[in-house]
Amino acid sequence: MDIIKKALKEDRTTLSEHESKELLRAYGIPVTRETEVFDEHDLLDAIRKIGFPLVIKACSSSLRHKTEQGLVHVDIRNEQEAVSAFKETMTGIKDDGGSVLVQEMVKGKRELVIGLTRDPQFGPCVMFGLGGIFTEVLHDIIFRVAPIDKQCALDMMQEIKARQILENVRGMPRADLDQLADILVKVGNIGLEQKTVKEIDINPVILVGSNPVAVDALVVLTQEA
Amino acid sequence: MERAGKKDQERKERVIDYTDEFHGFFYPKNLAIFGVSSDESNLGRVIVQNLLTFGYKGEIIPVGTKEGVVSGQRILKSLNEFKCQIDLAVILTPVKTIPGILKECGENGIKRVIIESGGFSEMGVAGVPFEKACLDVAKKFGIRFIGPNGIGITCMETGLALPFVRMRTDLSLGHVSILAQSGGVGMSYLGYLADENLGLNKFVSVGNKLNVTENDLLPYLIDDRGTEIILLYLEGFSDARKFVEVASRSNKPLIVHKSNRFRESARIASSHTAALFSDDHLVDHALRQAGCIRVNTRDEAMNCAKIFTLPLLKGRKIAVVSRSGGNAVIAADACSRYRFVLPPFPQDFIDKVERRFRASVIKLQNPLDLGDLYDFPFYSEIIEDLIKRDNLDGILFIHGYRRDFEGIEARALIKKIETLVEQYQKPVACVVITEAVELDYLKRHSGIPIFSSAEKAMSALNVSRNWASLKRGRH
Repeated sequence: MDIIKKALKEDRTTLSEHESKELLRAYGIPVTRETEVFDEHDLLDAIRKIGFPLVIKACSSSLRHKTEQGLVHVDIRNEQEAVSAFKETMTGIKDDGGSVLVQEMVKGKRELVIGLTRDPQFGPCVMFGLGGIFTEVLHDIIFRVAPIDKQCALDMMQEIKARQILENVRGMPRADLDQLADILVKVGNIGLEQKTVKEIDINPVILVGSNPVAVDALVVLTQEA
Repeated sequence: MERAGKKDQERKERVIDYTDEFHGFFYPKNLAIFGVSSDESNLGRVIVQNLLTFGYKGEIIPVGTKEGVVSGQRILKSLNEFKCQIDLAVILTPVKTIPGILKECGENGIKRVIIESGGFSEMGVAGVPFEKACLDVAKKFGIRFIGPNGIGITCMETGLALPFVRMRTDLSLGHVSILAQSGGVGMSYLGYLADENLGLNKFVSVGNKLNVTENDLLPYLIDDRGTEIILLYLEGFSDARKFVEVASRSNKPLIVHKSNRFRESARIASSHTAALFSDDHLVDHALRQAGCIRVNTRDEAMNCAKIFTLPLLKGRKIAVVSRSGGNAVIAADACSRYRFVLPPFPQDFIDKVERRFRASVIKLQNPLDLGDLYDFPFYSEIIEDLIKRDNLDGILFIHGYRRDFEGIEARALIKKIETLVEQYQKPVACVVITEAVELDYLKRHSGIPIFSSAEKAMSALNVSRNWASLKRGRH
């Protein structure tokens, strides 16, 4: 993968959000529509491409916890808001370098996490659980040693305590378990095929209606494969 | 029931598969033991005594630095004095002598060795060079060795009993095989088996797993004809990924007691068997993925091993028969907790039972409260009537009695249930509430497991049910 090669060449240990999603997209995992903008001149083009409402956020391989640093602006509804959010974000990341992501605003109340960890003993393991802030708080997470097949992925989803959230609940439709299972299988495959990928953290994966979309993603790399 | 084969039962001649490289570890025709002396405190001597106690039929060749006699066997000063091919060598000598002895084994064509001595990497860096030396010698001569820092092998089929501690003589031949990283825990487990009258087939203490690991031995036990239930005690995985792969193929239940679960215990485990630490959350899920039954205590382990001596539970429909109404309620709770179904009893059954009651003070339903019914032979009729029915997969029977009062009849009833289980091939989990001494008597004289509470019995039946559905998926 060129994205990985490039990052490793630059001695980086992480991919930026956008690069991370490019990697996921290459494996057929649904991600948010987004454009990376480096210069204010390109902002309007990006806005036209994505459409309102949209999200503007900082994109850098050295950033984590963007929300806490005020580098994420959601539900932007017009050009004026977009320009001011863009400027604010650029100022915020001035010291670290990086770019700005103009991203579709994904709406859904259910947030999941999907990930990959490379355990020193078990090797690549796929993770599935409750996303957003609940990942850290409730730790409702299931692991499987990769590779996994579709049935195994479906079993994983039934094992989280909050599995009810995937059902038809409070007017929200049942999650497309097939699509979710495909994502889990593919994440496992990334772990097997890309030896320099140390961790993947896709959090949140938001259910838009029934359909899962990777809204934020972080890929951590390791030099030795 | 073949639950716990009888000690006096003749050991069956088996069709032996000599092609498996690990087979010879359990079925050697003869064996040499290094580190034997006639000294009272000598541990090698204990191995010879264990072998004789357990009736090992092959030739025992004690080797030591001083001449002497131990249990009627002459101690040789060197293998050169023995001219025939030796199948297996056991080494229990100071660590610095071991690479040399291993070489002597290699030169005498011995391909299988068990090193029981400690003092290797579990003692820190000082032990590491000896490990390396052993591995080098083994490589040069094509030797496979188990250990170091273990108590070797026990095979109840051949009477091969190699621990250097005196073993309990009330162990019987059966179908449970144990692989343990720690010799001490392994010995404890042998004791628990004896207490529960669960028969042992093979026991192997793998210690530091320097040359032979659990991943080498597990496939052997999975294919082994004498083994039906496998119990593993591990403090760390030699190759966790490979373990998942091997365990996933098992068509025999694998009960895994994996300790060293928390960072705090990692330090102790590393100085014990040089085990590596893995994240316990991950271990939990990986074991589940591999279809292993993970247990964290000896009680859980025994509870699981016990249920697998009964026929597997093929569905979730259970009948509960209890001598006391209160215990029937507790049992019904346990059934719900594990998502079992208690189907209503058919009218013909209820009518039949009703006629035998003295007073009609109890509503007859599932769970069935036997109330004022004191007729033990009729209990077994009830159980037989239920076990026959297609809409029931298994029975939980809760009995209570006093040893001096109804002991004889109760024991006969349990014996009868044993024959029903055998005949109808469905599990009846018997919970018996009685004196400890009577419980012990029952365990020692029954071919079916006796549980101490409804909760434990239902949790065990749940394990049986889950394994049955997983196993079906594997074929």
